[in-house]
Amino acid sequence: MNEEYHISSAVVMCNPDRITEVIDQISGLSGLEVHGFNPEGKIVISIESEMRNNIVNTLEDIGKLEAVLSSNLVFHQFEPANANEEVS
Amino acid sequence: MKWTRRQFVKANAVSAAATVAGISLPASATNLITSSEDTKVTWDKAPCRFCGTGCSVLVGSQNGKVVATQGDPESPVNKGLNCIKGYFLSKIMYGKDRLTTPLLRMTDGKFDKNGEFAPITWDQAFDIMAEKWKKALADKGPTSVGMFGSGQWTVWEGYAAAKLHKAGFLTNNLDPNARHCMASAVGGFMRTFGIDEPMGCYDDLEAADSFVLWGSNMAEMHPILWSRLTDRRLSAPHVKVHVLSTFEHRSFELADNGMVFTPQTDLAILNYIAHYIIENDKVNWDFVNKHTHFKRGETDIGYGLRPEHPLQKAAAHPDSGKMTDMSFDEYREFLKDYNLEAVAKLSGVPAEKLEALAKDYADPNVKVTSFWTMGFNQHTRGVWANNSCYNIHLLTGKISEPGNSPFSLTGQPSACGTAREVGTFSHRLPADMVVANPKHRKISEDIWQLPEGAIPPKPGYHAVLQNRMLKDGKLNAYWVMCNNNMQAAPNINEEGLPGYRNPENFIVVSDPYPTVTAQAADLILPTAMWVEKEGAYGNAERRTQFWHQQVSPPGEAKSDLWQMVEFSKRFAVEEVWPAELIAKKPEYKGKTLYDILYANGEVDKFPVEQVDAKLNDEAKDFGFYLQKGLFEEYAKFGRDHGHDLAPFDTYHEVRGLRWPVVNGEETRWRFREGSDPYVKAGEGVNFYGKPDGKAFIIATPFEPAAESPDEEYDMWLSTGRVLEHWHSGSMTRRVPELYRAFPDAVLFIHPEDAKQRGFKRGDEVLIQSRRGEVKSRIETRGRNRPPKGLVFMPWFDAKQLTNKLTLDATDPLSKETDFKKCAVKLVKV
Amino acid sequence: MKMRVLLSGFITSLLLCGAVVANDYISNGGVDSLRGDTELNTQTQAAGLKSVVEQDKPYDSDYVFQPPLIPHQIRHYEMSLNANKCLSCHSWKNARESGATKISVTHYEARDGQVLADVSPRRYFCLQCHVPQNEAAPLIENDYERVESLR
Repeated sequence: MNEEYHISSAVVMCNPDRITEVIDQISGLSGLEVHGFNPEGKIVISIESEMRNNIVNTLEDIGKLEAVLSSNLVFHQFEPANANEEVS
Repeated sequence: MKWTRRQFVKANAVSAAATVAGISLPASATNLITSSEDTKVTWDKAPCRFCGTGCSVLVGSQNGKVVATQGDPESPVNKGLNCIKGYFLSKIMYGKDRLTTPLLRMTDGKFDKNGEFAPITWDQAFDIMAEKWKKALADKGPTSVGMFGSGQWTVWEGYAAAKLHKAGFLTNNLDPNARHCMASAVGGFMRTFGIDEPMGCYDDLEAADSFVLWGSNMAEMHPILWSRLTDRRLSAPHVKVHVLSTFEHRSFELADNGMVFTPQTDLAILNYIAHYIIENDKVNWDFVNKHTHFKRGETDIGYGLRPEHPLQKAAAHPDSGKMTDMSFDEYREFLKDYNLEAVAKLSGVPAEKLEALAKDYADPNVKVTSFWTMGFNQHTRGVWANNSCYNIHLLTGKISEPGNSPFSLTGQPSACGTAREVGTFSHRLPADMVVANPKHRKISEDIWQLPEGAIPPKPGYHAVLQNRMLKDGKLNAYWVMCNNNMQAAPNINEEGLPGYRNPENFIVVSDPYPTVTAQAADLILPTAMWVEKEGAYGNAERRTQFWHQQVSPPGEAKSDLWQMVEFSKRFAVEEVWPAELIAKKPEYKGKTLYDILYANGEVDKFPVEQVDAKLNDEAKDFGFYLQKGLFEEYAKFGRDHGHDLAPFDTYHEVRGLRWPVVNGEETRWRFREGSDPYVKAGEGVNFYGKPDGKAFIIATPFEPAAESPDEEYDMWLSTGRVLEHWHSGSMTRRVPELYRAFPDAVLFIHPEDAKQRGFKRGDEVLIQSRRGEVKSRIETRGRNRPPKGLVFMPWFDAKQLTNKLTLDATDPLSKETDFKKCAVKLVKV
Repeated sequence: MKMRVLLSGFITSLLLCGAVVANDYISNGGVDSLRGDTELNTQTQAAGLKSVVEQDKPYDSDYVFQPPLIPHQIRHYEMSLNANKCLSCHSWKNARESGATKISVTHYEARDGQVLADVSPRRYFCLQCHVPQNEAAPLIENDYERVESLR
């Protein structure tokens, strides 16, 4: 079934005063990693999943958080599940 | 460390998002990206190299080479999207035949016009150039030297070129290829509003209720704007799209009202709409009374041909842009000829379609945005067409507010930012000023620290005239930079080719690749392109965008900027300026043009240390931040004069800003109170380009094309572009994927026209005009569907030089060629 | 009479002579462009129409952000206000059945970043970014190198 592996990254914009709260909330989401943020309220995240719907759902969940103003998908790619072999 | 493909993709994804957000990732995260130097991709922003839309892209480079590009999600223009050309930007610099050393035609080690190209050094190249320029200047004076430049130049390259010619060589023989592209738009703006460039911006795309495409095929030529228009049309069901063209193309796929009209009759359709508005009492009187004047334009103005051409001799008022006052009643009377019945008959467009179009313009509750590009501009009455479209928007007051916008799109990435704004036209100076105006010359001479009287008052040779003067032996030392004019200019056989190969002339061509134009040159200079240099472009919505140099150019290739500034060192002022001029500024004695133009205390005042990038070859070579110095000196022309630019450094931070930028704020809708800082409280609207703040509604009639089909040459030929290729294809056809997407030019023709002449799809065909012939292949299907009597041929194919067929007739006011209309016949090969 | 003939012959030959001299200078000097070494005042046979490559598997990408190329013919595909033939196979709804490559999730984002239930209308015209390939050897080799790790 799991013939695909989805990798995406996004920039989440939130109310700068509540950025730690947002990071706490989203860090718990499945397949999501927070990579960085800045004082303007921008957070760089990646989402990985075997199901593309999870990526959409995760972004939607983030968008519903009260302190979040927007979430912009920057990048999305899906790979065959066997692409986890070493390349260099 | 071993990497998996999955980790690599993730690293790239995170890095791209961080670039978008402008965030430097903390060490924990960057470990993922930088743990292996081999896999590190550095990302930075740049505007796309191609059309006037001005999309922003993220450029990934590694080990000194660009390895990937993607649409910039942060850019308000394209929000992460690119068209197919933009997505393949990563490959445009890597065609195997990049030029890496200067090449001179030589026999036995010496320059010979009939010799074979052989490699030389930059020093030798500048030696022979300086010799030829100095000889021409000594023999015939400043009108015998000149340059043909580009709307693809960076802002500072255009500005450096304007200075080199107007302030250095004291010649106005500088013109950009934007003459082929936007000159009629400029003429239209100056006549109607007295100031250049669109009042609206791309935000109109999300605000309009009705779009009208006048001859524009946005689906192929401005794909990202088309995607925004499509978004609007499909998201808001009440929105309508009207598309007018001389043949059906991809933009008709979205059209609610598609109209194919007989070439040249757009002039009549425009007047019909004005007629409809007036006769149906839909004039916005409050607006018209407060903000407009009615003017009658001179008619029968000729076709911009050589003076001895019969059509030119027959004209009653050749080249006249004269306007006289007119009353509203006289204007109404003038429009009576353009009633629905007459115009439907003349244009071939069904009456109900014309009426549906007119109704949208007339309805005060429908916000209308009109778009046009080469259909109006490459037109022997291009300025009139621009003016007539403004008439409609002015009569209804549908202008300078969200969604109500007459919008002249541009073809080239910096036709606005460079070609138009910095003064690279043969009649212009920076910030909309003109050489013929003594006050404008004075302002320029002051900023440029020149003695009074330095700038020549007479306009120089424009694009088409340059080729004629080369042929006639009056323009002898000639530099072609950042364009491919042997392929792009009209009437190659009779003007361009004999001009370049005239033994009296010395032709220099600067280009990254060996183009058709390079093949006609005497000296070829290898040129750095796009992110191989620091740059700035200005797009069609007045947005100025910067980029850093991100990789080094190959071999000895140098930027256009470096080439011009370095060349200026070869001229002592005494060799160029008359003694009486130098006498007015004795401190210039013994100096070079480089000292006077560039190392002048202004351009060289920013130190190299201010460069905020790993690479900047020009700053390194000249010892100061050349780009910043040129930009800041140039910006003096426009600040406080409606053309305000932000400080240099700001543009490296942001995704562009739309001028005028006043107190850090960009301007979205010009001439409108609340949006444009130049409009005072209580004024509402102020067309401040005109002395009394009122724009002109200008009455001009339908007049026929320069050449129409007859019994012998029985078909209209229209030329243009395709989505996959940019202009002459010198970049895109070297990208294998783009080449294979649309490999060779073809002749699009109506199936019945083909059949009637004995052709089937794929047959070779000889296309003949009164000026030349070209072989192509018959295409009866695909994206373009011409009506009977018209053929369409793209001009990107260097093997099929479409412009051997075209006529060098121009709009007499703008001097822009009509590439959309000439007469041809088809012959079996 | 004879004089006139002679004279006009003389002028004609002068004119011809002039033309020959001008033509003498028409030479590409040994530099090839995308038209090869064909002189600018001549033309070789026009290249024949090429056919679209049809293959079962997708094209490889050179870098991760590259839009996939179309590995099949698209003649007669309707694209209009009412119909989009590409989506009839490539949409998420239909891709499982058709076996066609699924549209990337990026296509479900609106201009403002909002995630939509269907393909964003700004992505409606597929051919702006995705193009088929014709059977043709590149005109000029391209030295672009993909990133080591993606090979």
